[in-house]
Amino acid sequence: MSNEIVIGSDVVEVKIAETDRKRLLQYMADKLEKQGYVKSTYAEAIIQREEKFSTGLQLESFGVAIPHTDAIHVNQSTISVATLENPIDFCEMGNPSQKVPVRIVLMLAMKEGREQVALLTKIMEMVQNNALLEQIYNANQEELVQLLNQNLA
Amino acid sequence: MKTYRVLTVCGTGIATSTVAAEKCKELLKARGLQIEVIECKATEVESKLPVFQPDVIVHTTILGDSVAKEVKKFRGLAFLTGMGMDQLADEIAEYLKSI
Repeated sequence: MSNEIVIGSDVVEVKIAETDRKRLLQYMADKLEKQGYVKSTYAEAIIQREEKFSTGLQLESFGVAIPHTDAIHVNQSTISVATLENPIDFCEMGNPSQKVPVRIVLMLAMKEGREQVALLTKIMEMVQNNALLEQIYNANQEELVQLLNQNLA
Repeated sequence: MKTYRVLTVCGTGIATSTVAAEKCKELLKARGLQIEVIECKATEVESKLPVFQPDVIVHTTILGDSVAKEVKKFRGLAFLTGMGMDQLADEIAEYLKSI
């Protein structure tokens, strides 16, 4: 069982100025596809799943979204991360009538979910750490890549 | 000692329910309960019920009221965000001990 992933600078972007949720998801998914991490079916699957099963999480002082979809659309596991210049509303996980203003998006591309419990647990520990989220949100691209790999990889 | 069965449910049965399941197991064990957890997708709930016969369902995605009517359901978001996590574990433990 391996939880080793590398989060490359090619899938991490800071202070994205997008204002539309769907366009943001498409943009992030396209980037993953371009780098070969996911299949061409991934973007559509991510967008549809987010509509049906929303992934916004309201933490202490940050809204975070963790869009993800079935492993069948993934070639190689990684996480694409974006910080947003302006918050974009996502629906809360398990409670779509509640909106969460999201400033950090962690788009998961998981090849074999059940084998990656350790990684997923690290992700959840990360989002529960308010000071770390603060660092993540204020980081430049290089710092963000470093922070992510320190805490997740 | 009775082993209680917990079914955790998320949209894909991959990411969120795995984490919720681990947390749920850990916190209920800490409350002196013996727990068996399985995870599934929202669309698999009905088919899992007769096989696994869960005592409770913990879901991190939306489940319609008509789904698994006969089983007590808890929203498991707190197991992911950490906020209100102990309170949720207390509630589930209390319910399990009452059945």
